[in-house]
Amino acid sequence: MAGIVDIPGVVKAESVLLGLFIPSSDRDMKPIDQAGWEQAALELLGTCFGGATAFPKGRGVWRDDSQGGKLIFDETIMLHCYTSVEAIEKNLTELHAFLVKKGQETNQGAVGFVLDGTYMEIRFPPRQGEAAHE
Amino acid sequence: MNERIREIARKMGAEIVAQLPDTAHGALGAAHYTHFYRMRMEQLRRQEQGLPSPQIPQVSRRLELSVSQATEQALGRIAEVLGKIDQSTNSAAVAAELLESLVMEMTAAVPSLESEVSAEEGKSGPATNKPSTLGEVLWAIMTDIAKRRKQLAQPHRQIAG
Repeated sequence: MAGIVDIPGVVKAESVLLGLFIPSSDRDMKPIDQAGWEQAALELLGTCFGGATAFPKGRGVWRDDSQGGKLIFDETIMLHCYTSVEAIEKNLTELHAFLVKKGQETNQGAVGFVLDGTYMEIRFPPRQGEAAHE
Repeated sequence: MNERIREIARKMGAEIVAQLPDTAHGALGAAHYTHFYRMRMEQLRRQEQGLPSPQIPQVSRRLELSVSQATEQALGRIAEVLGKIDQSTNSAAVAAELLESLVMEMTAAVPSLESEVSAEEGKSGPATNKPSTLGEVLWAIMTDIAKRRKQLAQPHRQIAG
């Protein structure tokens, strides 16, 4: 049987997937600085959790029947970061501050993220979480 | 759901919206999650505009559950009322939402339920995580179900003869 190969920086215990979504527009469908958000997110995840992967833009479209069938284009970027619950708990303040900052800067209705298969959102104006006070 | 994940959400002031299925990892998984995210953002935009919000397409696992005719009729009646707000509502969507809400509400109480189930009859241990208000009602229902199941599991007495 083939042996297990060690890959630097990869630890089997770090198996929780943290996924961040970076939208291409604000709540009024105006374009935002998506590249700036992506870069900042990679830096944060790299610093706090040791690494992350940004997947190329998935270009999407949906038909808005309330606007006479107008086609709304969207190019969401998703970032994957394999980490651990312990690491997230340790870096909760930084993660929370980053998401709130980006959400407010880019006029979002909500900032969504996935943690271990659970999709959650920080809505704007944000509710006060404990992480905001730590 | 892991209790620590729930606690992280609480500390971040985040709302838990959905439990996503365990999709493939890498680009394919990202594509699945991004699809869900788009639908969710569309739903939020419509809500902000006061428009009927569409159902988010099924990304979660589909369950087949048996219900009585009375339950089906009751779900239909609720869907009929809610349909005045959101025309896309139907019995199955109402059932799924009810079930998800109840399960979310009850998850925190699972450890207490466990001790209730494992306790000897009439000697239930201290329950520290019981929810309040609506949760209290649900708690009563759940413990009642647990008791009924315990009774059914009791071996029948056999009369020798």
